[in-house]
Amino acid sequence: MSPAPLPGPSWVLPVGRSLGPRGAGYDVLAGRQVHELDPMSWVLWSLCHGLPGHRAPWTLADVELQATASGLADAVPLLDGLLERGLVTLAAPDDDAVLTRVRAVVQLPALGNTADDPDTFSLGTPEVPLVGLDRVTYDVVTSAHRFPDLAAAVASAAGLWFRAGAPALAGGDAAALGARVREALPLLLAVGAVHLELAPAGTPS
Amino acid sequence: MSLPGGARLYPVGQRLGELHEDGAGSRGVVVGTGERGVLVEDGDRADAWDAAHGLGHLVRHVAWDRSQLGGVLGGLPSPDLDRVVADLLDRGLVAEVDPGDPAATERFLATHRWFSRLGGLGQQERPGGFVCGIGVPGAPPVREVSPRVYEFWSLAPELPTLAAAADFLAASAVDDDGVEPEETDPAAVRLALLDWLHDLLCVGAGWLEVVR
Repeated sequence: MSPAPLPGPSWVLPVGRSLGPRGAGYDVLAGRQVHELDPMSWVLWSLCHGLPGHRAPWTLADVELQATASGLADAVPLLDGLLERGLVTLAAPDDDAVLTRVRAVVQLPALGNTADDPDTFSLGTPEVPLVGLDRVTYDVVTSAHRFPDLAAAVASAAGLWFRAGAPALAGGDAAALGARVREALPLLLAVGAVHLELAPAGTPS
Repeated sequence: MSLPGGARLYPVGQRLGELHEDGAGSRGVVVGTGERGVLVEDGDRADAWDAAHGLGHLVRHVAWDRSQLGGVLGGLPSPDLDRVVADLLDRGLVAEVDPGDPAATERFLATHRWFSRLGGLGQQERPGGFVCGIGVPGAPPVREVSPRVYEFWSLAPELPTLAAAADFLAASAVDDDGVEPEETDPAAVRLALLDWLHDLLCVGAGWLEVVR
């Protein structure tokens, strides 16, 4: 069972997308900047994405536990380094304000729905759907790359469904939809369905 | 040097998957082109939009043009092919670009941008030099591309247009080791980019959108 969310900014959110190994290290692209990471830092950054079976926000404690299990003895200074470089950000697990601090960019193919389950819209490979979403959350995730932050993507989708006469699909309003998107983020990150970029408001000064 | 063939056909929009309603069969594929998705009905139109992405074993050898599209669509008669392409052009679901027409090429590059899909799997050394893998982490790459195409795939989503992406790559290549003159020439990179697109589109490693 997952532990109860801790108060405060304990939710770990990875920023950027891996470009894989290059030479002796690994590259992670955040915005236009390529960050060269040593292998240990890259492993820790990868661990910050969470695990597919873990649907709750992925916390500092989860990262430290997985780092220890992976044999990473120096997780704390490595994590501090990732935070300083803007490759990880922290948020309160139950605070929708996180949606204003990050932009999401879909990475996995969008598969749509099926005749057997028309209410579930999936992302994954054609052979293996990896995450199933309701239609409006799917709209947010697949269109979020066009918006400066996730909150703007949520507001746009909620507005569209409201104007289309189906506000119930969005949960009634942008706040309800935002909570659904926030709750979906741990799984979306864990399976690599999206990567995050810091929104202008979330960029460290 | 540009690939042999006619005007390139590029699919425009983000594949959002099949749409089924009320337990019925597929109505078609939904393509995101902006604020709303466009339903491309099953049949010739959806087949043509899919085929416009190119075939992986051909797109490095020939320009992906109407004749290639016709070949993939199993000999669709030319008038029918032209009608389907005209419909997709009207709906903004494909763009047709003749690299021999500088004004049309510039217009395309200035009004479209690139978004990447799938993951970056990094560099591998091959007998002919380094290649870079694109795919799903943990699985074999679905495509291996040149480092320069990989650089475009990585960075172009952060740039507002294809033209800006080409200029950025040309400028950043100046500091690279062993760089060829055409890699730092913005005009040459813009032309090369026309060929890179199908190298990536053919495996769904990204998509084009019209700049709004």
